[in-house]
Amino acid sequence: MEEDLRSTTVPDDPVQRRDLILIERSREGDLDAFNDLVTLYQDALFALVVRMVPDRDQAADAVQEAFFSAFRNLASFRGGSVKSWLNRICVNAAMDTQRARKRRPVQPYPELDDESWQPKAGEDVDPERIAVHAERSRVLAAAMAHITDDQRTAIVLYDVEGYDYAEIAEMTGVSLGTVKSRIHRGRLSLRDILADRMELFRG
Amino acid sequence: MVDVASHGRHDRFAIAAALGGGAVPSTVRTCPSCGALHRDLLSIQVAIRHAWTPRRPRDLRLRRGDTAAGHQTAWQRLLGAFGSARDSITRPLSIGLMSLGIAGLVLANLTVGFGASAASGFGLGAGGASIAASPEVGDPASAPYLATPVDPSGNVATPGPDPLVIVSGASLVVGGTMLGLRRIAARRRAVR
Repeated sequence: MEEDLRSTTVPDDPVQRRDLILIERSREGDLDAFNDLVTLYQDALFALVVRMVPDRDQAADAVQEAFFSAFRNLASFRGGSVKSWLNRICVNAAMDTQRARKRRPVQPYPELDDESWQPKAGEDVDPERIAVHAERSRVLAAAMAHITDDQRTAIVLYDVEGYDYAEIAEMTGVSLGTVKSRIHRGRLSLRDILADRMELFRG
Repeated sequence: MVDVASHGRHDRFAIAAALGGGAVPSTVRTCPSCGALHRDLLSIQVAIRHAWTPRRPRDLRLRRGDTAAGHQTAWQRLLGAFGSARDSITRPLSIGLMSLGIAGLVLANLTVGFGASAASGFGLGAGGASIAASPEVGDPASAPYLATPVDPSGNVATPGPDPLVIVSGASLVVGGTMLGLRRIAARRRAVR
């Protein structure tokens, strides 16, 4: 397996090269190497999952479960982008969490604390703009929590993660038409939910 | 030309689809409400891309003890595969097998019931005498309508199990087992 990885993938991208080295060391049982990968990707993966599972603690649990799963199944990594591999494992973990929530509904999407919103690195520090952006993010997250899990997942994967329809269909195990329908209906539902707050999003 | 009155009949779905690279419907230009919807959907799409996310509540690095505890046996891995997000087969398969099983058993039961009633129906002779009262009942030649074969010595041969019942029962058991495994796997995931 390791030979396969070395012989078939010699990435030019230093990030990918670094990731593959960490994966190889992890396969040899080096947990610290795997935790280096966790440190590198936990924020991005949490940001993905918390959009699909709008509960911080459950989203964190799902990401950690995904890391466990990745560590246990290092042998299944076939080369290519480590980030994409982790992304897919996280999407599966998030969908499992969504199903568990349906079976055992807990507090339905609690309001997230204002101070918990996290601006992306390098964004401007104008307090007014920050306040508007935080409010927009909060309102949008609340609206996203009111569309169906399937619609939310499809929209996040398409709009935020940049997967195409076919990739989303493969990841979620449904047909291409179903993916499109979920995205389009989800968008219309979001617009209906946000109808009274659209001034926040215009301009 | 402004086309306001007919907005209710315009295809909102097609306007939403246009955001995914589809053709923009002409109503977006001709109907102000459709135009506003298109602009709003675009604004929401941009906002989704740039929305902030909540802060991660804790460090997600794995601890040595957790990974040791998280080691799975082959059985646990098999169970984990049932009903996971990637598993889109076992649910329809198990429901299908169970439906086939139930349908098969009902059909087998109906067939047996029909056979029995047919036999008793045919058993009434022209004079109304029951076949049981017929002195030739032990004679195979006198009862060609009986489903149960009778050997020349007069003993009723015990029929083997109906293949339909066996196959239906098996598919019911397999389907039920798969459904049960899915439930156990789902409960394990929910508890974690």
